[in-house]
Amino acid sequence: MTINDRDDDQYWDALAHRVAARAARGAHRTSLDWLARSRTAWLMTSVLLAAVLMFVMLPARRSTGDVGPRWIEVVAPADRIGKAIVVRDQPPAVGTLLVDQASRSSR
Amino acid sequence: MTDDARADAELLSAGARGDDLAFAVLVRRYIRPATLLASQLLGNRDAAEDIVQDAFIVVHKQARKFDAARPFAPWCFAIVRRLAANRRSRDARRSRLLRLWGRVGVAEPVSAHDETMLIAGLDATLARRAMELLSPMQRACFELVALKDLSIAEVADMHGISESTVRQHVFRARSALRDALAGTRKEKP
Repeated sequence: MTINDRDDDQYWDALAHRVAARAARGAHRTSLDWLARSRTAWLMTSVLLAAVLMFVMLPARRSTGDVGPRWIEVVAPADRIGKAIVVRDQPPAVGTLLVDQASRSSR
Repeated sequence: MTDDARADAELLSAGARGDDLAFAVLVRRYIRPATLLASQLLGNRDAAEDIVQDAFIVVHKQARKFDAARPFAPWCFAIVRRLAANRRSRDARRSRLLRLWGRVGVAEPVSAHDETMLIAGLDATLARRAMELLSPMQRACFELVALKDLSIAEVADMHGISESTVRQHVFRARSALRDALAGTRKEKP
């Protein structure tokens, strides 16, 4: 507080008007307004969108078989069931598995 | 804007329901003591106006939670005091950091005792010296009551202390000033 500070009705009226208007505006603001105005909100939304896109894209890439069919064959187990599970696009038929299991146990 | 006879709580609840005019009346009622309080706490009118602005935003947002059975003024001034304290600690932190980085520190708040020029019949230097003898709370209460014409009750609400404490601070400040000024007058040739 200094002697130069204004202390008259006109000053307080003007200040009150300004403060009340801003307070009312601030209070009516919603979270959507915050999203529209805030730079942080934009950044967070972008990061979130990028994460969602990556999540959607990654399984798609895996299913296209980019890993390389040759590598899959190399690392696949040597037995028939293992090969059937890993190498083929479709899972092996239940019948195949049963026959294979039966032939193994008879050996 | 000032001639609305409604009680504070009524104006506040009307403001919360979207009646901006009612809220403006309430703001006008308390803008002066709130700004003077913030000025005392921060020592700077511009910073005080910012704090009061923020305080009334808080008041508007919290209006629905306000207990209408309780008085508005102490609640409002408590918000101002809390925000001013936050601002002071933030400024102090920033100033410490700037000093650590070897740059010029943030300007210290202007001290409150420049007001002493208002003490009748004394020059500014004498008045300032006399005011320096007072404790911060004595000075704050004395300034608001004796120089800004606020009531004891208002000052009590503003600083969150009892009316008797305010009276005591003002009484002690007056006595200390009278003694100090009498002494300096005697010292003068």
